[in-house]
Amino acid sequence: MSKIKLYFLTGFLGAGKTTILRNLLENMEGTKVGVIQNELGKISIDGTVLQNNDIQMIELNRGSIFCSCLRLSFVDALTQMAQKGLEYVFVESSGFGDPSNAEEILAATEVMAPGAYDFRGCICLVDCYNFLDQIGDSETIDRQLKHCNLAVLTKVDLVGSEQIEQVKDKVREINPVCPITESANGNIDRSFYDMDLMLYKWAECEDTTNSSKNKPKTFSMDFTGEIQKEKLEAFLAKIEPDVFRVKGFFKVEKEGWEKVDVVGKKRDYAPYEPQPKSQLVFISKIGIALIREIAAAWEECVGLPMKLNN
Amino acid sequence: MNIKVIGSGCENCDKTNAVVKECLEELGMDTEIERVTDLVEIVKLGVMTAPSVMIDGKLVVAGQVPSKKQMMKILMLFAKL
Repeated sequence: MSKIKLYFLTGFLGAGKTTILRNLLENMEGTKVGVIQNELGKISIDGTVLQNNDIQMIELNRGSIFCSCLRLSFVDALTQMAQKGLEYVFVESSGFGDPSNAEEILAATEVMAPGAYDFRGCICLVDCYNFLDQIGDSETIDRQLKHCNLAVLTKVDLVGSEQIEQVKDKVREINPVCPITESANGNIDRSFYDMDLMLYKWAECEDTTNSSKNKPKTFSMDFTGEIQKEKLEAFLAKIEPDVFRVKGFFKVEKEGWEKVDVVGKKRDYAPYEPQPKSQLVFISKIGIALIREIAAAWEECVGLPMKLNN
Repeated sequence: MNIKVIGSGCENCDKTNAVVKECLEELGMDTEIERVTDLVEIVKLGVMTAPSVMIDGKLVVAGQVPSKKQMMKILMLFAKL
C-alpha cells in the first residue's frame, strides 16, 4: 500500500490557511483525504466552514498541536488517520502554531504507525496584506517561516508589486532556501504536489515556542437575534486594536447570515449558511483585559444582550 | 519499584510529579521518580495521554493529575503496605 502524503499548513492568524485548504480540497473529489484542524480556542469556526466537504476530519482545539499540552493528541490523531486508507492528510495548524518540533511529532507518529506517512513538507502561508505589520508582533511568524519547505504569499491581489517584493525580501531574510510562490484570490498553484519540498530544509528541529503559558487568550461571543451591519462594523472597529483576529458568523439585518473575518485593519464578510445563533471568536492581544473592552464596545455600539465565554 | 511520571513537560505533568513525590515522602519511601518527557519515548511506552503515571510497567494514572488520596492508595498497593 502506498504511503499517505502528509502536508502541514502553517501561517500566522488570518494568513488564509482555511481558504487555501478549501481551495485544495475543491478539486479532490474521489480522492481520500483527511484533515486535522487545530484551533486555539474552545470552539471551532473553521471546522464548520470545512464541514461540508466529504473528508475525514479530526479537530484539535484549545491550544497548539505543537505544544506539550496537545502534541500527544496530535500524534494520536495522525495515528487514527493512518488507519483510514487515505491518500492525503493535510494538517492545518492554528495561527500561533510553531512547527519547530515537527520532526519530533513525525518520529513519534512513525512509532505508532510505522511507514504510514510520506511527509511532503510544511507549507507556510504569508499574508501579504498584513505581514509587514505583524512581523514584530510574534516570534511565531519567524519560526513558521524558518521551518517551512515552501512559502506561499497569499492575498497578492490586495497589494501592489512593491509590497510583494518587500514581503519576499523579508521571507528570504528568515528562510533563504524555501521556494516562494504567490496566491491570489485564495487560489493556490498545485505544482508543489510534484516537487520534493523536503529538499528545501533550512532550520534544524528545535523546541517549539508554544506553551500553555504563552498561549493567547481566546474568547467567544454568542448572540441571538440580528443587528444592523453598521453596528457590527462599529463594534469590530472599536475592538480591532486589541485583537489579533476575530472570526465567526453573524446574522445581519436585511442581509442574513454573514461569515465575519477580521485580520489587522481588514474586515471581510461573505454570505453564510443559517446557524442556530451568531457566534464570534476573539483572539486577544491584551490577555484577559479584552473581556472588558468587548463588553464596553458592544454596549456602546449595539447595546443588546449577548453572552461572552472564555 | 520503578515509577515513571509521563508527559512532555506541561504544567499538569509538574503537578503530577509533585503529588507522587509528596506521597512517597509521606510513606517514607526513597524510590526515585523517573520523568519521561521525550515524545518518542512516551509513545513507545504505549501512552497517548498526559500526564500519566506508570508503576512497574503498569499504567496506573492516565491523562489526569491524580489526587493525593488516589496516589497514596496506589502506592500503598504496589508497596504492599
